Amino acid sequence: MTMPNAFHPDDERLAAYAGGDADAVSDRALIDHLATCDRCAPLVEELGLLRSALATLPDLLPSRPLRLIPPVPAAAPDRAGPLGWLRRLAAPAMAAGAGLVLVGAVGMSGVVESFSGMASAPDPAALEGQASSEGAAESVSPPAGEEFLRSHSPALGPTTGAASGSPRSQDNASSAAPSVKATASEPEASRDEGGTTAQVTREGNGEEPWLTVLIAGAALFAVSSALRLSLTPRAG
Amino acid sequence: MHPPDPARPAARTAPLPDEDELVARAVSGDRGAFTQLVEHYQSACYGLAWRLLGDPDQAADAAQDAFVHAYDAIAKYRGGLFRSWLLRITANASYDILRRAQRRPTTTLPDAEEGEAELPDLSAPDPAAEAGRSELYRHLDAALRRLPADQRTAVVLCDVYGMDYGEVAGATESALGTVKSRIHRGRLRLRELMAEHRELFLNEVRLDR
Repeated sequence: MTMPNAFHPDDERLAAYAGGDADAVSDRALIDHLATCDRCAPLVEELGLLRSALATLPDLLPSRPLRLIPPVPAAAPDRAGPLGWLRRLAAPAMAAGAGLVLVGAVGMSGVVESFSGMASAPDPAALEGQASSEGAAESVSPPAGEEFLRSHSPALGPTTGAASGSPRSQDNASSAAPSVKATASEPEASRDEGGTTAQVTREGNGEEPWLTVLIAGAALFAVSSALRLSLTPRAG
Repeated sequence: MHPPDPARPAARTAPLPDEDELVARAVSGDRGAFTQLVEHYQSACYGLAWRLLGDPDQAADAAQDAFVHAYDAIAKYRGGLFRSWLLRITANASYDILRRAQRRPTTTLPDAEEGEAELPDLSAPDPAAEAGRSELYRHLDAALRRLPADQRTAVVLCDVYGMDYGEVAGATESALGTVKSRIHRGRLRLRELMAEHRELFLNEVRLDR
């Protein structure tokens, strides 16, 4: 067995054998060579030992604490924060304010006065009733309804003074007021708003109540839209 | 809390006793079970990433990337060792970072166009890493760092982490023949790099037996 040493296999082939490469370890010629070669056999053994050493290299502790799991995307209500409920009230409050502006504008335009007192008196009241009941469903109506009733109770008197229907409609209005108030849990900002407009009504003009309605509605609309804007969560 | 030590050894992570159950829960969407598994294997993942990238920060980034990918893919997990599955994902994440770094060569990183690009010589011993670490492991890691990047990646994945040719080819997006050649040449080159410490190396390994 002197011949094989003259034909050493390629070293890469030996490295493959050392790593248990399926093709190399089933190579009959290679196995026969390694059985007799003083050069290749030690090399294969050394490569095999090197490989076992590599296989026992330890794990390494991270250089810094690692984030193990992606964060849960925050839910939308959480981002709205503790004032989220106030923001949700803003939209209906805006609608109520817009309704008041409309009522005030219609009143001021004199359309109402062109009709008979009997017909005209319930008209704005019905309109308002719709607006406030819509608001009440969202529990925002208190400021709107209250303002309207406060500013309109005196107004109903003059317009429908001679009409036979006036006591009834006024009755309705005044009886409606406490019930609306009873369910009220209005935001402080809106309460203040209501207070000031009520004052304006009393000190100002009993002759032109529609203007007050219009101003009150515009104010409510402005306040609630500002509220909504300021409480809207920022993206990101 | 932790000193900025790039390579503190930790015993090789063994499977958890209740690993099968944890994996099953993680597959069905249990975040707590997933976190437990990843926490258990984080040193294995970090160690692999560190050996592939040679940089503590990049290794930590790669491990975290891998955990995100694993979380996204856990529902599609189909058997096998969880450690191997997680290490394959870590190898992919590390290789992505390595490739980005090679595409954007810096002063410390030679151009990759020759295919034999070497990372900066990281063989300078890290004093903090030496403590509590056997001479053999220190020299082995130092020698691995001096391998050409392609060979190092192949040898680390195959010989240190026990992946087969196909898994290495998948992780490095290379042909099977290329991978075999890199592994075999890498072993030979590593042996040359360890020549100085051959006695230590042969003795220690024999003692281990």
